[in-house]
Amino acid sequence: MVNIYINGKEVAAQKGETILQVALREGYDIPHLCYHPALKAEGNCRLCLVEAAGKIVTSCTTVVKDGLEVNLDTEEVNRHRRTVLEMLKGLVPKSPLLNELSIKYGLEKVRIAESEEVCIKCGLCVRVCSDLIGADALTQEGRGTETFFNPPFGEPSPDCVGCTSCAFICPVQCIKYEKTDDTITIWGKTMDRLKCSNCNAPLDLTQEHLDLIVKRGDNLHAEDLMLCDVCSRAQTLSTMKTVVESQLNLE
Amino acid sequence: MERLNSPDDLIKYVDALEGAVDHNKPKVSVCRGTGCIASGASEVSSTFKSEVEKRNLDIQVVETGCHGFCERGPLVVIHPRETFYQKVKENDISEIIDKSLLEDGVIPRLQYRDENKTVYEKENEVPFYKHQMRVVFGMNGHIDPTRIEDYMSYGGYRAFANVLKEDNPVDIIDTVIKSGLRGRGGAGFPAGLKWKSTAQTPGDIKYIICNADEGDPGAFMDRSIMEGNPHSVLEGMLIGAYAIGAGVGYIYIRNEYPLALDRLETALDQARDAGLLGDNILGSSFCFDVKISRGGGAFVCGESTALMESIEGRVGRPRVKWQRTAISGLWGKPTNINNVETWANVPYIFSRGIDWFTSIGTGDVSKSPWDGSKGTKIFSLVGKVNNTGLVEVPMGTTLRTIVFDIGGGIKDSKKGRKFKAVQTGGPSGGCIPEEFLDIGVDFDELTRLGSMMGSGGLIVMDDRTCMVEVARYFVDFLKEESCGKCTPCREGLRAMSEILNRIVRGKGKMEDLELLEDLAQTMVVASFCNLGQTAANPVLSTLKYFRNEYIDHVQNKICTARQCTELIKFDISENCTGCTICARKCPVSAISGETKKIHSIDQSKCVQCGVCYDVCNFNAVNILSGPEIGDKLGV
Repeated sequence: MVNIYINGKEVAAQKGETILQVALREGYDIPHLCYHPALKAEGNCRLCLVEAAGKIVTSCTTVVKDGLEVNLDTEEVNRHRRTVLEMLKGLVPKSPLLNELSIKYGLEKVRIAESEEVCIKCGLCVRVCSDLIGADALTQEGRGTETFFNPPFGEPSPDCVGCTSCAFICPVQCIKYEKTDDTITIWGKTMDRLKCSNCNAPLDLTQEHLDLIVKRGDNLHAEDLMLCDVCSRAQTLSTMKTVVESQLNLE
Repeated sequence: MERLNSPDDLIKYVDALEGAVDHNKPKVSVCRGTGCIASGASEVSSTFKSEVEKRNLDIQVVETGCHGFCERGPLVVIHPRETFYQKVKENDISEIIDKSLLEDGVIPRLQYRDENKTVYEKENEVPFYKHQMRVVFGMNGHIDPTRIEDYMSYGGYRAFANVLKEDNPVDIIDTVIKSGLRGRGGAGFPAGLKWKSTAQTPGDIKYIICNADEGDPGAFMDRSIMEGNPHSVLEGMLIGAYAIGAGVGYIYIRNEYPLALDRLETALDQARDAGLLGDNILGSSFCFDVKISRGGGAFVCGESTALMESIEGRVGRPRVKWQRTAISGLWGKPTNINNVETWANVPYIFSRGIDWFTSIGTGDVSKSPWDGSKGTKIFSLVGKVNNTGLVEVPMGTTLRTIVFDIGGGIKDSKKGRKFKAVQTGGPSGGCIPEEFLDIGVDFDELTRLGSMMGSGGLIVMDDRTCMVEVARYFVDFLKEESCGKCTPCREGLRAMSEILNRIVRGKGKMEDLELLEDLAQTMVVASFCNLGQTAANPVLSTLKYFRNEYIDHVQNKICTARQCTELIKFDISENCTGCTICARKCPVSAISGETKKIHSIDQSKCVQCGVCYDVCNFNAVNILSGPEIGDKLGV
């Protein structure tokens, strides 16, 4: 354990934690777009700036040290944070999230030329797909200002399992997908939705996704995943009931 | 060559080679660097060889690496007199052999003469060379880089053999620290301190890397070292690997350097055959080999973490440094990265000693290597100077010496061109104005002036160079080369590029200047890697030293330097003698006029290319900008 000071207040932290992790746990508010607790920080959006030991750093990539003094909103931090926000708003002018952040952090006017993009290029979609789902169906293409995210070559990817994690994690919700009772379509690829093994209701699961989960060897059983929410709950209840009754009978 | 089985074997072998060199024997060095090859050096050297063979002469023809004065290539030096010939053609060779090798004469036609028509005979008398101190480039003009024996005949690998014999890695690192050697790749981090942390990190597997991803436009010193003296880089790496305890070294070289690559591969093969690389080097327990990793030419791959990503087989994009490279670098192992020129300096520190090395340069490094800049630095001197090429000078040499003594001053100074600024440190460096010409160039002075050493690019600018356009050019270059990972670099450069492209077209607003500064300050502080952190330097330094030019563009629609085509018009004055040359050279036939009468330009056809201005011998073409255009042309 180490102790750090956030805005002057002493806070306990685990060794190896980042400033952002500690601050969020302690209930402090640091704006961030490309950080997600389930993924390793990459330091892409640069919005989570704080002052640590007198230097401006990104809190998501700075590991705490004992006695570290962190200030979350000095004038300098706010100024640079606003400029980063201005850059992002220039890139994606119509994002409700960025509008909300602008109001919150006092960005009144965007002075730079606005583009018509919808993606803030944080890269979370690629990272969740490779690091968490293990599908590796997305990639960063282009370079610099031409950066964009796509399945390789812009073609429907054989690796995409239709899990929609990319759309879920996207902070500006720019990844769209379509769902019918029978299919799910994302990144130009249409996959069949599996049906509940009990009531035949459509599941948020494709065969491709199920295969990947099984292959990944997580502690999940295919037969459990093949149930819809309602049937799953019913099954759990009945299992619990059986367990409780057998306990009572024993007594 | 035969495998050498002990350091003493090597020292004996080197001593013998060194002793066998007859410095009085007639010898011809033909520069075969990339620059001279482009102007025909291969033909020159092969003609020399065939002619010598045909006439059955006892003259050695050496195809050497780059001599530095690329602008005057192909270069030939006749030893032992050191007669310097420039712009040599195939059909000059017979005459050179007759007059300068078989007899003691010179051929004035091939000699170097400066702007004032002064002729210089010997290489070291030519002003371009006279003010230099060639250490790292010292052997370049003498040895054939494809022969390990040539390197050894100048004492090569003796330093490594001695180091191996002493068997004291701690002392080696101490020597590098005390020498004050700082990284030549740009940041100027003391090499010895880097070696020390990598050496002290526990671990069986350690790597060293030679960063040969030279990417600054106009910089080619690393290429010339690798082409001209690849073994010096290898010897430096051997000493480093031994001190640090590394088993494998990588040379990360861009694929656009085919000749350097070829020379390195030859050198590696030779070193392996000689027992200088591989298992049990020189019969010791030290095992080390070097692999070459080729880069695809992305500028950002010169950044150490992006470089390691690239070696590991991923897209070259910087990664988060959770730990220092010395602790967790390539494949998560302790790693030491130095640039080509840094490695190439190492053998000389050991062969000539700390005292010699610290006698060159600035500051006093006896307490800490951070307290000065020691040794020499190679600059690639380009732009509006008379003598362009590669220049090696002691750290602390003034910009004035480099630009005016070595560079021979501003090009076309007789036509009134004057020095305006010198851009140092490549695209992410800054522009330094005339008032600072007398500062000594070293790591700390350049940083203090808002620029940086970078890899050592020096671009000289004259009064016809628009500083806003300079900033625009570099910002657009960096915008192309930004990897796109982080917001400030990617979006900051996009915004700056848009603004600067507007200002050079006369469409800027005064608020733009403040916005440029806001963007720049955030890029410096908030960008992920050094590329973004320094990308704003061209803008910040031109705004600092040449703000008036920005204001002229924005408020008065004047391009002070008369360079931005959308803000200028060409006009022919009464000085015109009607010689018709401008009319004949104009690519869009916009100029008309009778012989011996004043010509005029049809503004609706003119594309502002400036050919008329360049060809006019009577100073009759004026470049107008701002209100002058309305006054003179009524538009």
